[in-house]
Amino acid sequence: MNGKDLFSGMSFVEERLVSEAETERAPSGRFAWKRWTAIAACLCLIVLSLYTSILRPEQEMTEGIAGQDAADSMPMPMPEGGNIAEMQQESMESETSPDEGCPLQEVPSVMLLVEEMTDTGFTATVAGFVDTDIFEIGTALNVVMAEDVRHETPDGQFDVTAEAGIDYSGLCVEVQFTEYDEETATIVVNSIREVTPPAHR
Amino acid sequence: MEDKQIIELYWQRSEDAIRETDRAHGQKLHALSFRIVHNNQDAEESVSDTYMEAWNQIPPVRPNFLFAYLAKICRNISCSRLDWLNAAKRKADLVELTSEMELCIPDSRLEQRMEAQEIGRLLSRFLDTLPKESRLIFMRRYWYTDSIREIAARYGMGESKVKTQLHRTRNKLRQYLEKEGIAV
Repeated sequence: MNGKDLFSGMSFVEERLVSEAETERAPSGRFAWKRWTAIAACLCLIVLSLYTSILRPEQEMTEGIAGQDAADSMPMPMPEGGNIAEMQQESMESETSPDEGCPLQEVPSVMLLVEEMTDTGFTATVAGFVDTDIFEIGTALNVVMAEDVRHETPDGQFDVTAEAGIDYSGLCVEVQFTEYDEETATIVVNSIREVTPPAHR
Repeated sequence: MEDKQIIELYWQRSEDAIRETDRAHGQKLHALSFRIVHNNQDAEESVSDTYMEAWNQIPPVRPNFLFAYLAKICRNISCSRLDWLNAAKRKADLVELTSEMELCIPDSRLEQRMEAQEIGRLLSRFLDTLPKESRLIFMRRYWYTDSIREIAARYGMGESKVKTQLHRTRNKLRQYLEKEGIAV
């Protein structure tokens, strides 16, 4: 039996399966539900961001002036250096990965261990899964970076284009990819998130 | 006209049966055939042969899903009409589909011939094990020969997601065929 036999044999699958594939438009409306939920979540985040960045500081400024005298009489607690480091670590661990938040269109993500840089990106091996398991751990991949790849640093900063000169060699990164060519084991990434910080910039 | 009424015309041996069938489903049948044979004349002949086959089978057959019944006949006739030797020259997308399906066949040194009907039954059992989403995408790709883009648009998802789903399903089919002792 070969691929042609399988393809021809498909003609003899049961009619109810053929009919189901012809009549169903969107599987259980699940994707419509997900999309609208994601849009609602994005709107909430935008409103919250606006509130905290614009409206709340104005309020704090007003309250600050009014309570200045009271505040002057109280000593300011100084956190220890270790507590700040713990807070930063907790903040990094709890921050949402690039593929959460506004997933209007799902894009697979995978963890990679970068080997060496190339002209178009880098070579890497699969180190772990995020939301796709089409690769096996240890699979070698050629990574091509899209023209406007989004680069996120460990402290949550974004660049629209990949900054020239970033050497990812030896780093563990989480990438989102838009294309996958099984034949050449190549993926095209549009987003890179450093899991470990680079040694040099 | 509803499908049930069209089937009734076949049972009454009315000549309107073919005309109504063509009116209701002719365009889709032609499109399905054309995707396989890539030739208008061959597609038209395949559809005509489909109607002839349906006329000969109904009655006593009374299909539950008329379009699916006709589409099965049409697809089978189109595949039989297909000249696989010339496929590589003119039908790159069909060659791509059969290459993808080739990946589902486990490696083995044994050769085993299977009747097409037997393959169909096997595939039906496999498809019943799949979640609905995976099953629909697989059927649209390998039964209806839709492109990745068409499937993505149909179900409102990204093309990457469609490719990922197909890749996983092909792997599952491979494992299923291995378990069933099917080999190339």
